[in-house]
Amino acid sequence: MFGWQGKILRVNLSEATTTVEPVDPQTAKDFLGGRGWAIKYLSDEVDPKTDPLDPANKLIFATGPLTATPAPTGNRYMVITRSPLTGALACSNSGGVFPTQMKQTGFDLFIFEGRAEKPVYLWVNDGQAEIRPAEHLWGKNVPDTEDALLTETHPKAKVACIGPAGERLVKVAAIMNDKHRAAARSGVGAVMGSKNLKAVVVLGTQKVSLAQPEEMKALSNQVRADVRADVKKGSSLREYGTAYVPPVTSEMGILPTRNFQTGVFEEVEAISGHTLKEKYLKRPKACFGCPIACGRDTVVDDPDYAGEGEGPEYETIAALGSSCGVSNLAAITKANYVCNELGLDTISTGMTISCAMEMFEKGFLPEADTGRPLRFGDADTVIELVKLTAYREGFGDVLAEGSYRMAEKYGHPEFSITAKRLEFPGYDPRGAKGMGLLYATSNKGASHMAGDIAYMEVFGTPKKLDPLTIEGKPAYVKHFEDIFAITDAAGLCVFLTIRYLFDQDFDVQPTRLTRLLNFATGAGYTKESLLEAGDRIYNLERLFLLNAGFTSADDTLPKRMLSEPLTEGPGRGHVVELDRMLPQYYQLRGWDEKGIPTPVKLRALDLDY
Amino acid sequence: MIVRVKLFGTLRQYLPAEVTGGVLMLDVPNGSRAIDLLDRLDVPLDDLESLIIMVNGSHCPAGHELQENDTLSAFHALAGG
Repeated sequence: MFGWQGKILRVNLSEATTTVEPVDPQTAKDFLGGRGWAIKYLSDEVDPKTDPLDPANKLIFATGPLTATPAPTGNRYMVITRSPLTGALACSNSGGVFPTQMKQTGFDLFIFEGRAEKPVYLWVNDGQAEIRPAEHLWGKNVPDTEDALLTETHPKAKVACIGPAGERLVKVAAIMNDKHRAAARSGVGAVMGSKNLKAVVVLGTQKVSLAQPEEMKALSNQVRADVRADVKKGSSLREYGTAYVPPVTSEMGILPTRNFQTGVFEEVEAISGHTLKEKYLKRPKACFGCPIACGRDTVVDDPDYAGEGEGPEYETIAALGSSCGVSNLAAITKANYVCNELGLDTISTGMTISCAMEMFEKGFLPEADTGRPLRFGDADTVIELVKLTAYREGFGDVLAEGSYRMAEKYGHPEFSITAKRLEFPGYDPRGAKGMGLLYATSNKGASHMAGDIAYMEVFGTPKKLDPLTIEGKPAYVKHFEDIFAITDAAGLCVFLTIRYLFDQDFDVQPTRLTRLLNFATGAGYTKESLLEAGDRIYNLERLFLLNAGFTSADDTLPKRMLSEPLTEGPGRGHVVELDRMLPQYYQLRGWDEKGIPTPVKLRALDLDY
Repeated sequence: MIVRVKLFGTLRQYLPAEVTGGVLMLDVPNGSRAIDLLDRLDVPLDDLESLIIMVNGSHCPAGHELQENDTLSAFHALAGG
């Protein structure tokens, strides 16, 4: 095959066996790769009602046809499983260097099933897979685990692993790769921990065969030139990382502040990319093959928060910073390092802590339980709670369940700012209405990565869209969900795709992406067939949710978003008019009024099997 | 009339060096438009399409006429996080 390696590595941890399987060419084409193949295998092989932490759940690592190719940012992988945090789909994306090495082992997907009797890790070296004992690694943090594994495998190998949080089945645990990169969301780390799988180590030299290598190279060079032109004009992502964003969203009144009680953070300058660059930045850091370089290599020498690592990026600043009322960037950066070392999703961890802070301040969480006062702005408490969460110690055992279960336990689920139990990312949807529809309908819950319409509502990319209107939003959200599905399936980063691989008009058509995929795979996609593949992936995921027991009643938002208007900023007086967007969205998706794909729709997508 | 100007990301370089806290207070003639202020600060205006201009946090066209106490802000259209 071209583009795809055409092989899957199946790892049965209960039996301690590994097997290699070919991929059916039609399935390969219809589901693109990465996220698309993964949902196809997951829904074929896992009962959607399976307890996510039961050995019967499967954990899939998936690269796409553009992973490990010359395509710029062609270095992403996805982790797909049933989420222990949400019960919905977990579909978490990461970059770094690991994904390229993983694909160069000769496999597109790793499927983990069952549960090892004792801790193990998987070592895949150029097509050869070996399950090895990992009892000596259990309990180690992420950097120590990676260092130990490089010593006992190969110094050039790449590692994805869990930290203490995943081992303890913390529902907001991440899978970390290359020490600082995270497939973060939905508790994928807990599923890995439940399988007694400490790490996956890869090293590969098996280059991907391309259908049209010269054309691929030429177009990739053209895209790189476009990125360079932007960098020359002044790329905020290169200069400041995504940390340039907090002043933008605060100005728009949508920066989560004190658990979404407002969207304007009065101390936003202190947590901006400028402050980060001035005080803590060592250098911008790119994932393998990326011309943008939005990552941050940082060092904090303030003795109270000393450390070194990567980050923080925007979402982390919003969750562990403004949403917790914290303006001390050294402390936020430290909290980020601790999350990375212990293997936690910075978004859900920070947002769960901010939820606890609001409940404490309002008298719904007794200090006898929390063990200390939880007050907005208390940076040291945030760092302490991060550690407690990872180890499930003290009140951390409650926080480890995520904000919804915590708030429900104390009788006030309304303080949990979640959709399908997944904590919101850094955009208050009352001031960016499309994001509200996205959070409510996404197959993973409130994730910006499900179809980040903020690109248009906030960043004007590829075109500007009024954030406060609901007009036209259902169509854009549906379209963005589909094109994010394509991007995730292809193995690319959305930062690149949305700006450089789509037509710069309101139709946002994947012109260059289609060509790149054809140069890689030779599969002969058209723009239409590609968008249909995105739609197919999205609908198969939806079926997985419906079969897991979700209904249209779950396509909703917290009360605060629906009936408590913003009190300041341009969105003052606004809520999310979800009930006015949802019916139109269902219709555009080809779903009935209960949010169920119609037989006609399923037939059109060849999903009526 | 007095207006405030905030420039985000790499546009920050066009704020005078002495500005602290990222906010510039400017005394401008009545009827000034967003584009007039950006021009006065030497912000490159050759590619208006890729510039996001906001007044009081709401997107607006470059020709938007400012009022007393308005806050003008701008940044390059780029992906965020």
